[in-house]
Amino acid sequence: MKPVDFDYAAPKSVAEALELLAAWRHEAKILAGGQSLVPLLVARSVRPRFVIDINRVAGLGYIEERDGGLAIGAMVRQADCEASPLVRRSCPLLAEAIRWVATPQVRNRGTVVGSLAQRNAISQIPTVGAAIGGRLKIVGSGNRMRTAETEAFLDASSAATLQPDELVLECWFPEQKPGTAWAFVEVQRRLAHYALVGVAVVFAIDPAGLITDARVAASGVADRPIRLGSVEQALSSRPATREVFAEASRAAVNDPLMAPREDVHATAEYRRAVTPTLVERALIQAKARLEAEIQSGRQ
Amino acid sequence: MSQRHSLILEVNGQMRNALVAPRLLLCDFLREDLELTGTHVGCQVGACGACTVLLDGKPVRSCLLFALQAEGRAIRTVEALGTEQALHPVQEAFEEQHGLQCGFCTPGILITVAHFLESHPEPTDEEIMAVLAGHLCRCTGYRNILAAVRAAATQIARDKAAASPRPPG
Repeated sequence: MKPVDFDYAAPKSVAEALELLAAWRHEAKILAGGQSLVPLLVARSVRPRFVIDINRVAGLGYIEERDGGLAIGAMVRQADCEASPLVRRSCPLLAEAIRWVATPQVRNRGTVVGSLAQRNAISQIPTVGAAIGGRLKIVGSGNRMRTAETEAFLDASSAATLQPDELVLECWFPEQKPGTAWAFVEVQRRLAHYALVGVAVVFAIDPAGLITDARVAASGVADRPIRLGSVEQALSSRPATREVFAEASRAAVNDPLMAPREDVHATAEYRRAVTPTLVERALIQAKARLEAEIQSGRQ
Repeated sequence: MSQRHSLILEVNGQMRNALVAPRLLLCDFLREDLELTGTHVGCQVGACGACTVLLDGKPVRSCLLFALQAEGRAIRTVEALGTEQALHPVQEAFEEQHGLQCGFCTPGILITVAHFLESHPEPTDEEIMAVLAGHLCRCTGYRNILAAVRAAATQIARDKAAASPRPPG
């Protein structure tokens, strides 16, 4: 099956793109990487009358350090972000999470911002956003600019979510400070397939060996990636030991935000049951990576 | 019908121009307009990888791209990889190692692997399997494909060594 007939433009500027968006609103679709949109068009589950291709809009391909974090323009491909030395240094959790996105061929087209804009409950980049926070720069008709916190943006019921006349210009992730432990893990049916559940963790260990600033997020267990506050609390100010990791992970099962659903790939019970396993695995991996970093730094 | 748009792009080193509808996918443009049927279309949702081509030197799904998005870009398809008389080392290795049976998935795999070996001359099995994860093959069980990629890497390294002058002394 092929897409329904639509009109198409590839504007060269944000202003031009916004004009088209203001004119077509609900009937328009923004085409960036297209790795999710094109299959939806081919299946005709999305039937726009106009497709606005922003691939030729100038000045949206940057990755730069700003305000203690990384600003990533709307046309930055996932593969370029994954390979960027700047991202690997300042936000290694993001680079690692992208490695789990679909396949290398898809990551050559798919964009970081597009992944956030779609708010898919299982996607890796939104899961990083849920874990470490961040914000999005959004522009609407009349050049109306606003900033949305990533966590609020990902919640479809929140006022911060994307409106039909709006375009996301960039996303921003806070820098991971040196000495941060981090990990991203997933369980998939097979390599490069959709995740059933994914988990991102970051935390620090204070001089006394106690866990601070723990942030734990999970995908695939609610209508959006969620922060597991119960696990974060159970980790806070506790020694970074295997026993504590195991015990804190178990809190995930009864986290108030957990609302896993059943589909053809896994039951809701499985998704709930596998989450603590993944959290524990991520915590162990994160600590081991941090220790290895400290070790290699000393030599 | 929506307005057709003019499209100028380079395909396998040749400039081509056409008038196309916005909804025409790149894979269909290659196969039906340019009659380059080496690029296969399997799933049409980006899952199987049979339609993989190089866009400005990078492997992409040609079923997840509209032809118009390739305006001004360079596309390379399996037709440009080698000729029947002079196969690309990757094609040769796939033949020798039985890296294909029905051959439907093969054009996409050849494109991905030829590109991959340029940046990974000595790949590990893990690296090979990671890049092959972007391709579905229902016949081979992937073992022979893995063997073919290894053999191609070895052959390309040998060809390179033979082509470069010996170090002095």
